[in-house]
Amino acid sequence: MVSGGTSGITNTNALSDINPNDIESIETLKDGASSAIYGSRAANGVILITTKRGKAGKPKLTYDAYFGRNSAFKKFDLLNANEFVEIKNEGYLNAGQPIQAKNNEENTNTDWQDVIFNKKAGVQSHTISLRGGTENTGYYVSANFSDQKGIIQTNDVRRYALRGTFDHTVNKYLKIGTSLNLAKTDDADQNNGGNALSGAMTAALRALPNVRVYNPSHPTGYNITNDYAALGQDSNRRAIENNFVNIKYVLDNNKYLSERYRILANTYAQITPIEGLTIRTQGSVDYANTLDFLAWNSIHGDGRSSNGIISSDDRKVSVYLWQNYATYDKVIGKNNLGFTLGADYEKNVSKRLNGGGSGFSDPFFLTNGLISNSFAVPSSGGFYGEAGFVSYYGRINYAFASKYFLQLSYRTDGQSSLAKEKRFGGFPGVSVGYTISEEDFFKKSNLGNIVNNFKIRASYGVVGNRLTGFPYLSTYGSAPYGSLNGIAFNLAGNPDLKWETNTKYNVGIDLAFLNSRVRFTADYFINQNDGLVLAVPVPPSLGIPGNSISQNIGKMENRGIELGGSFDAVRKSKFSWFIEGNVTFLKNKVISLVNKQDIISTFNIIREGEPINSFYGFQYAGVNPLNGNPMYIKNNEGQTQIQGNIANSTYYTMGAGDSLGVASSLATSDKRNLGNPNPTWFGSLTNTFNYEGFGLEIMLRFSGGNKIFNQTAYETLYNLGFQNSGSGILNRWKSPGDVTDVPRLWAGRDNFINQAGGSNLTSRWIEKGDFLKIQNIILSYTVPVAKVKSMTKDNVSSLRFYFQLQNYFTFTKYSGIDPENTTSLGIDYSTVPSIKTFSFGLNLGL
Amino acid sequence: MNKLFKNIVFIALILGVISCKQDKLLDVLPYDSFTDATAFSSKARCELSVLGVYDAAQSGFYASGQVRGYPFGAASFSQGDMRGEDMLNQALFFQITYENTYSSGSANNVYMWHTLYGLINKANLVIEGLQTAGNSGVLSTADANKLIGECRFLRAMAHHELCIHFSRPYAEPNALGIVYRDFGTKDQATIEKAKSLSRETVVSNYQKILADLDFAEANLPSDRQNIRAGIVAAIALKMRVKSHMGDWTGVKTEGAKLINVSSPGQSLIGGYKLTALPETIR
Repeated sequence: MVSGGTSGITNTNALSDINPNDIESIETLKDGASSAIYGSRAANGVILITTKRGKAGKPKLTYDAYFGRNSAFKKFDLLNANEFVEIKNEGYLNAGQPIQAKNNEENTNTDWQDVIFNKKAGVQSHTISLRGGTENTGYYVSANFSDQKGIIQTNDVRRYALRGTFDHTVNKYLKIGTSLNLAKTDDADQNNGGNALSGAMTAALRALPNVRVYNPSHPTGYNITNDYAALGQDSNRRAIENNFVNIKYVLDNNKYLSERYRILANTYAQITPIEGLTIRTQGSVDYANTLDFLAWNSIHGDGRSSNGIISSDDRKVSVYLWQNYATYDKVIGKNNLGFTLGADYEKNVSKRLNGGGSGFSDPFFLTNGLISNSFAVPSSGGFYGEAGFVSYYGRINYAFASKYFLQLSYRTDGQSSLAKEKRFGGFPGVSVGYTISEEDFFKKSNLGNIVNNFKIRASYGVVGNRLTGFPYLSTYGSAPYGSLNGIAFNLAGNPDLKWETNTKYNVGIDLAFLNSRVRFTADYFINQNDGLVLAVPVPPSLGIPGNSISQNIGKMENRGIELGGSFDAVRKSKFSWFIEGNVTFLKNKVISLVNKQDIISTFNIIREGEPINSFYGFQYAGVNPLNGNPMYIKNNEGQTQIQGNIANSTYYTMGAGDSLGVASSLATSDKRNLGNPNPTWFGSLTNTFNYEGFGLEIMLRFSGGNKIFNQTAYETLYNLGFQNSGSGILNRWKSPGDVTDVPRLWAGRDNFINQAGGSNLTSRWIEKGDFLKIQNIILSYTVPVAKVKSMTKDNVSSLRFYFQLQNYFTFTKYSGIDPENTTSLGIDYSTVPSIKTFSFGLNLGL
Repeated sequence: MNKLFKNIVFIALILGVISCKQDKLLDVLPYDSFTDATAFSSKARCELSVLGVYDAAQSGFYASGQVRGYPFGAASFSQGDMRGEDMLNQALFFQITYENTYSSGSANNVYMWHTLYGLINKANLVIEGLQTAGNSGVLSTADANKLIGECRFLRAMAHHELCIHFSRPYAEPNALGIVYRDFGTKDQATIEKAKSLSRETVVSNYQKILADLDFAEANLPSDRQNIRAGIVAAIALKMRVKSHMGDWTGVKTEGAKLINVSSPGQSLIGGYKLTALPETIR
């Protein structure tokens, strides 16, 4: 299936084209043996989504709907107008420069987050489905409309979807079926860049709080400088630094639209020539066509200097998958035997066509589409690429008397991203199980009275991870020089690259007591990634494109324990209480690297013996109470404490009474591991109560043990330019004796004081990521069937109402918006707050 | 028996389709790039590869892959102005240059280093590609040398810029210079070879720069104008390099190749001359 984003300008998720109402069940397969059969598609585990299909019986019509509202999870706490004037002028005074900030006559105090937030972000969804069939034929059809408004005024997703499935048993030898999913998604977004001048949140966080949003005397009606370059300055003596824009104007005029059409079609035929043998062939096409439209207004914002820009993209991604397999099952006495043989073929085709222009005659032409001849400078572009995958696999299952289980599997996968000699990899899998509770001696024992299921199991499996592109080839891509065409070296290939493998070992037990009222599972697992493929940095003085080459760099391991359990605490006829929970403890470690060489990216490091992508930077030691200078600990033998003297941007040792000692330095060699970005424990707990028709479900989620790099604070909230800052900056050092974490202010000296704007992370920006969330609270009422039927004269067979709160309550010490809103490197620079939702819904069955 | 036979035929059919399908699916190559084997397979492609080296000089990359005018483009010049000229800075973006608070991690510093060596490696790879093309007859020796002359000119210019920014001046003869790269780096073997080299002296750097420029002067065309390097550009850069060396006699020798001493407004190469009055310049 197409996965990941398909649009260049909006955040899309391929899974979102599936209507949740069409899902029959979701199963997560994690152990090595079950994922072995899914191959490289299963490298990170398998989420098996079974969608609804026809069922024999009377046609059943359902209507499911919900209505609700999204709101921001939390707002950033920023300086108000008066605080802004105080802080910024203090920065200028300390730097010996004239003050610049002054409130206007109206004492304007603008909350720019409120200006761009959507106060009535409505959510709604409606699904109608029909399901039925006879003994030989089954059908399921559904139609869905949903609309989700985001918390930024421009943000909106509308989906229209249709799904149909049909299965028919022709005779005792042949069964056929098909399913078709059609979806159209209209997505409206905005620039979300963390440091983009027109980035919606970034601009709102930095916008001056003491200026107005609108200015009736400006030709646009918005508060914009007279040269149209930046947010208007009102009574301040200068305009906002770096020409940050009036974000309200930009959001009202710039367009980030995508229109996605998705077809998921699937047809199969299944032959049963002799009893026990099934041969199935199945073809599917997954086609996603995304039409992106981006328009930057010509008057103000990113499009001003080019007099308006349109970029319009037509992207098509097709995945063709042909799966064939045969299974044979045979029962001989107590022996249960099964064989599977299969072959999968997959082809991916990706196409893109871009058209656009700049230098528009009038903003009128910058609204919904590209209009011929409305612009001076045309631009066009495109792409075409293919990839292929081939797999062959076999599996043997053996069970004896429902007591002993054995499964062996082997698969060989080929991918077009590796050199011819390396493209095939072989991946085995084994699993065994022993259900002790089926043994007669156990059933007869005292323990057998209490324990009604006791199984131990173990598995081992290897899968290969897929690569993209052609990392084995050295290539020359287009590189025009001015108006002349050219080509240039753009990728250093590594022909020795081989499959990256993921080996999973797992032992576990399943237990059930007291007629299965208490269930417990425990697993100990080791997942090893071997031959990890990464773009390995090479010294920039070699001039390799991207300063990296793909290599099998080494071995990484996740080792841990997963515990799960459930408890039927109360099981009375009127009242029941069910508790279900799980927790995982995980330890990540890089076991070996090629030549033991560290791999350092901007803020993270991969080093032998440490968790992967640990934060890497300087150790901050707070603020010198004597003079307000930031202090650091050098990574030398004596772990010398030093201070960065703000006044002359030079490092000194700590002299007598913390005064300036001798000149020192803070160099790359002083960087160290600043913490693990990967959670070391996480889990969930769900409590479900039922009383007569009422139900209450409360789901808690927790996670922690990790560190987060709060890049929003590092780049934005503590900025020292003429832009607004977060309220944390009020704690700055002011006079000798102040004990604080925030150094003395000095206008414009972000680079030195915060180490901002480069690759110098300091532990000042690293925080703990532990949290507990009440993810979901659902209160529902199911009207008794008899009552519904009598009230509606048998026209309605079931009716349920519910009220739901999602993501509403979080307990954390993390100072950013959401400890979960981070990249895979543990960096929080998303700035756009995550969403909480309350909704009201109903399920109706006819 | 009949049924079994049918099944066998069915499976055999599938297996037959399978084996030819497999290679078709996996023998895929990129459609958006040449491989290093095909980039020098014709005279026209050799020409394209050389222009790609010029592109590396005019537009490099910056943090997170953005295109910026480094090392010899708009971005490097405007940052240079902010430091060198008599200006008052009003933008946070230039503050670091304006106050000269560059560190080894400052983006402007880092990407100047990256893009200069990026240019050098592209020049080296193309020189090697052109040599192969010359040896195999894709290019005539004269054509190959002309194009190699352009690459060596750009390589010398980049190394000289590195010397200016990242090493001690030529006046300190034993001071360490930079690593001079004269072979292409593209795979594990060449990466290891390149990593093993260490810094040379400034004097050795300047000797190599001049050797490149001498080759360029000997092989570049004299009638080339505008955006590609000709013999005039090679001589002019030699004047600049020799100025940095303090070799004033050398500067005059090079200058004399360009300027007609008897009628100073006229160039000896390419027939350029000053107009009589400034206002006649278009």
